[in-house]
This record gives sequence, C-alpha cells and structure tokens, in this order.
Amino acid sequence: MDLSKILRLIWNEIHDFIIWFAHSKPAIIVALFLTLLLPAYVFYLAVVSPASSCDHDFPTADTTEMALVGLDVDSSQMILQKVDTIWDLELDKAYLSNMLLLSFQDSAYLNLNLPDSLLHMEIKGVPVRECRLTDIRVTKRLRCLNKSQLLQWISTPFLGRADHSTIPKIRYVVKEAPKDTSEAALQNAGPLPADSSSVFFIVYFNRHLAIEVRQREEPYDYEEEVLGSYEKEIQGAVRSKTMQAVLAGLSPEPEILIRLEVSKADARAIYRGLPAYPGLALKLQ
Amino acid sequence: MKEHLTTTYSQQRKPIWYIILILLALAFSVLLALIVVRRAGSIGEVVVRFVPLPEDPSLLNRVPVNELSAYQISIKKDIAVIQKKLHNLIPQQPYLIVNTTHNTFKLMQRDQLIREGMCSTGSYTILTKGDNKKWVFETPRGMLKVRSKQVNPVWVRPDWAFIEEGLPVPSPRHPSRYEYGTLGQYKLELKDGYLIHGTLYKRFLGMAVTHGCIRLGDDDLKAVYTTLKTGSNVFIY
Repeated sequence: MDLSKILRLIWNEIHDFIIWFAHSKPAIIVALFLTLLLPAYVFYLAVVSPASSCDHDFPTADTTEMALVGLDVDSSQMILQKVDTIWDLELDKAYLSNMLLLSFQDSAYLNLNLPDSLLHMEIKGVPVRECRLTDIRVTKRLRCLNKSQLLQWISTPFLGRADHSTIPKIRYVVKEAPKDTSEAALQNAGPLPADSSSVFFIVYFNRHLAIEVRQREEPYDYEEEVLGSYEKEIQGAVRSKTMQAVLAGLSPEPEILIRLEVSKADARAIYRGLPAYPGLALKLQ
Repeated sequence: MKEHLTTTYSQQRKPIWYIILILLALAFSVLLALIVVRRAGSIGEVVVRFVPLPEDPSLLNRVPVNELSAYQISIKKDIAVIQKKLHNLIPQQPYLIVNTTHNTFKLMQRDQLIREGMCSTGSYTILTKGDNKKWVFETPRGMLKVRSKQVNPVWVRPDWAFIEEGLPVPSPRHPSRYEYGTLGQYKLELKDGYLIHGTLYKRFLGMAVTHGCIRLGDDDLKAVYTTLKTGSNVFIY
C-alpha cells in the first residue's frame, strides 16, 4: 500500500468524522460545552481559587462555640469582643517586635504604618525620613485572611527580594584619569544637574507582598515612554506568573499589593536610600 | 450506506457551518481565557468582595476564657517593654541625619529639629587610572559615629586629588600634599578618612560633588561642630 493510499484512507476517516460530528447535535453540544469550559477553568484557577485560597489550617468556628458553651449571649458577646481586642494587641505587638528586630540591622529599612498614613525610613530605630501618605490602596485580598492568619503573615519582618523603578538606584559616572592639567580642566566642568525625573517604584517582598510607591505629582509629558515601560513591566510580570501557573494547572500565588502615594522628593529619597533587599515592618490596623 | 450519507449531507450544505461555529467558539474561548489571565488581578479584586469575612476564633484554643483578662494584661506589658526599647534606640545625645539624595542635613536632639540646611555629599563618580586603579567617590551610608573633632584642620591631599587634576602624585610627606583652609574651620572625622567639613565651593552646597565627605556651609558647620560630641551618631541615607 503506498503513502497516497494511506493518506487518502486517513482523510476519508477524518471526513467521515467531521460529517458525523456536524450532524450529531449531542456531539456539537458536548464540544461547545468543552470549549467554553476552558475560560471557566482558567477563571477558576486564576481568579476564584486565589481569592479564596487562605490556608484554613486554623481551628474553625466550632471551637469558639465549644469554648463558649454554658455562657449566656451577653457574656459570649463580651468574650468575643475581648478576643478581638486581644488579636489587635497581638498584631500591634508583632509590628513593634518587627521594628525592634529590624533595628538590629545596619542598613535602612521601612516602617509602614497604614492606620496613621505614615511611611518611615529608619536606620537603627531612628526615623531618618518621614513621609506622609496622601493615598493608600490595599488589595482586597487581605479580606480573606482572618486575624490569626494576619498575625502569622506579619509575624516576622518582610524582606525585599526585587524591585523595579523608573529611576536608577545610583547614577555612577565613570571618569578616566586625565593625562594633564588641561585635560583635567575640561573634565571638571561641574556637577551633574539634579535628577528631576518622575519616581515610581515597586518592591517585591517575601510572602507575596508588593509595595508600590508612586509620586503624587503628575509626571512630565515626555516621560510617557519610561512610565509606559514601567507599567508594562510590572503588569507583564504578574501576567507571566499567572500564565505559567495556569499552564501548569495551578492557582497563581495571590499577590498582596499595597500602593502608596507620596511626594516626589520622598519617593526619590526612599528609593535611593533603601538597600537592594530592604526590610519592612507593617502595621495594617 | 457511507456513500449515501455523504451525498445526503453534502446536499444539505450544513456541516461547514457547524465546524465554523465550533472553531469560533474555540477562538472565543481561548480569547476569553487570555483576557482572564491578563486581568486576573483586577477581576480577583471584584471576586474577593463576595468572599465571606472569615471567623476568627483560634485564640480561645490557646487561652482559656477565664484567663483572657490576664492574657490581655500580659500582652499590654509586653508591648510597653518593646515600646520602651524602641524609644531607647533614639540617641540621647544630639545626632545628625544626612540625606545624600537631596544633599540636605538635619541636626536633631531626640525628636526635636535643631537645625537643617544644605550640604554636599559624594558625587558617585568612579575615577579610573589604567586597568588596576579605581576610586569610587560616594558617601558611606548607615549609622556612623563622630570619632574625633578638630579646629582649623589641615587637608592632607590623597593620591586621587592629584590624579584627578592631572598632576603627578608626590611622595607621602611632600609639602604639596598639605592644604590649609580647604576644609573650613572645623572637621569631624567619621571613619576611614570620611569627614564632615567646610567648603570653599559654597555654590555647590545642595549638590552631589564631593569625594565622599560631607561638606557644610560655615554657619551650619559651626552649629554641627559645637552640638555634636565625639561618639555622637551620624545617620546617612
């Protein structure tokens, strides 16, 4: 049997299948259903699952009910209020402990106090830069963590792992030693003009936390390209992470994004003043 | 039978539309999936609104109901202890904060500002000579201490000061190395030759022009010199 005959045979089989398929209503319905299942599956993996993917390895509500057995309703309410107060105190304690831990390190670190709208850069426990936050946006994903989970999440300082920015961390200028005094006179033309470019940066910390700092002032028109590539890069990073996870049949790790708005001067001083892998103490409530 | 079916179906001219429908559905489906991946973050933010707030009962597992008040008091005590430790981190003596990004300084006493103004810090220049000699002119960051203080200091010019000007490097004790008045009236030594001193180039205050030292204007230098003691902290960021 030669190749053309085999091909013809295969083609006939495919043709027959298509003909059968096109005239079988149940087959078409199943195919349509399966086809539309793809976005639904992706939606579940990429959106629904991360939104509800808190690790519920904590006791469930039944524990409270057991502990409150025999108490009247008022007492139960009082106890639950007290429990809530204690949780808040524990969260406060964790935040202060983190500040203390970070003060032992030599380089600068961040102290972010969301209830007071303050971002401090500190060295050895001394605030060297205090920034008033003019706008704060916190991802709503934090809602799916209860207080014990929040406490676990913030129990140790966060550590920066990478960052992305519209400005360089340091602007080094390399200068070759002049051969004589006349060449030196040409080289020493004076200091570089102050950098006035817009400052937007994001620091990726461990435990899925990302802090984005944006300047309050409107950027210049001519900076559109730089800002565009910055936005593209940070969104691209999220997309590629989501895509990789979905292709692997997994839910992407939920990112907790906190977006802060400060003055341009503060944003620049903080970005330039922070080390490559900064520490962070976070107060959420 | 097969031939009969083929003829009949072909006459009806329907199959192609079903196939196109399936292909369109597939394309739509892939497109929708891509949009979901692209917008997963923002869609997720909407979805999260519908996730019920979690209950928070686990504390009662650790602490019995009758011990809650005592536990609350003990946490408050712990917090007070940590707050005291944090408070003690602020130096008792006056200290200096230097911002190398904007070239400004703040002279502080506890949390009170004594004086602020402009300074000059490291220029972030890398000076190279040949293949093996390199100097990086940047101000060190972190917490430094004032090691010594001196009135009317003399500047002993290091090798780079000659190389930068295209001059031959003299011997270590050559008279051309000693310059009087260049550092201003006072100097405070921080570490490894890094100083806080005055400047002849006052127009450069507020700019990054130095070789790593911190330059101040005359009045500011005097205030810093008289306020800071040997051992005082200088925080540079």
